[in-house]
Amino acid sequence: MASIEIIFKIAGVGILTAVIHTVLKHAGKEEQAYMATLAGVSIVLFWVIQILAELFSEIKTVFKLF
Amino acid sequence: MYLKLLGACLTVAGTGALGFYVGNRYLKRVQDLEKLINILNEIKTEMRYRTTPLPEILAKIANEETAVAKLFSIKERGLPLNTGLKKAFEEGFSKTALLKREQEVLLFFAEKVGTTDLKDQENLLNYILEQLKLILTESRSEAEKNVKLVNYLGVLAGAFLVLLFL
Repeated sequence: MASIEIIFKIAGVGILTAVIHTVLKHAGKEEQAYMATLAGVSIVLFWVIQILAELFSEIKTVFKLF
Repeated sequence: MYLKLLGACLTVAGTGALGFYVGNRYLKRVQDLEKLINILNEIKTEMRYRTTPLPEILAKIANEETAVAKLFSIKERGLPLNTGLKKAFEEGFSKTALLKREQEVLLFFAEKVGTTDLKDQENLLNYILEQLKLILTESRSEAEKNVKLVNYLGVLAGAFLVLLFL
């Protein structure tokens, strides 16, 4: 069961990724900045996909689809 | 709960310290290069105006306390000056923040110094000094660009790890 915690976690990763992106961009390392953003997005996507999978399985059980 | 908090603080402190350490290496490289250029200038002056023999100059420099000056202290006796100096350089590099590029310039200097006449020695020293000055300019701009970045990234990486594992 996903709790409210995950939302704060995602928000935290978002803020940190934004800061890292800005810092790297200011230092002229644009490629690394985009890589950092991509890493942040992938981590969040990984969490969200797990929660989505949970949601889908619950919907299946609610509507007795299997 | 408190244990978690302590762990989080330690992680951030650890990666932050790592960031500061790496940042300091950049600054130390610049300082070491400046010191090295000063030392080579000193060698040039001693050679040109006082015609002091090279082993004497090296011994005088090695008396100073900095790690860069200690590079010039030849410990093993009985070897030719070039071989001794090269060995001293190779042993002392790990105590300085000098990188491969300037190490190679120094090793070239060790190989050639003391083998030809005074005029040639001066040319060699001028060449080495020019190379080192070029490296110094580059390392200064590199340090200017990277020190702040590495400091920030250290702390941010710690915060990221804490967020990921908490």
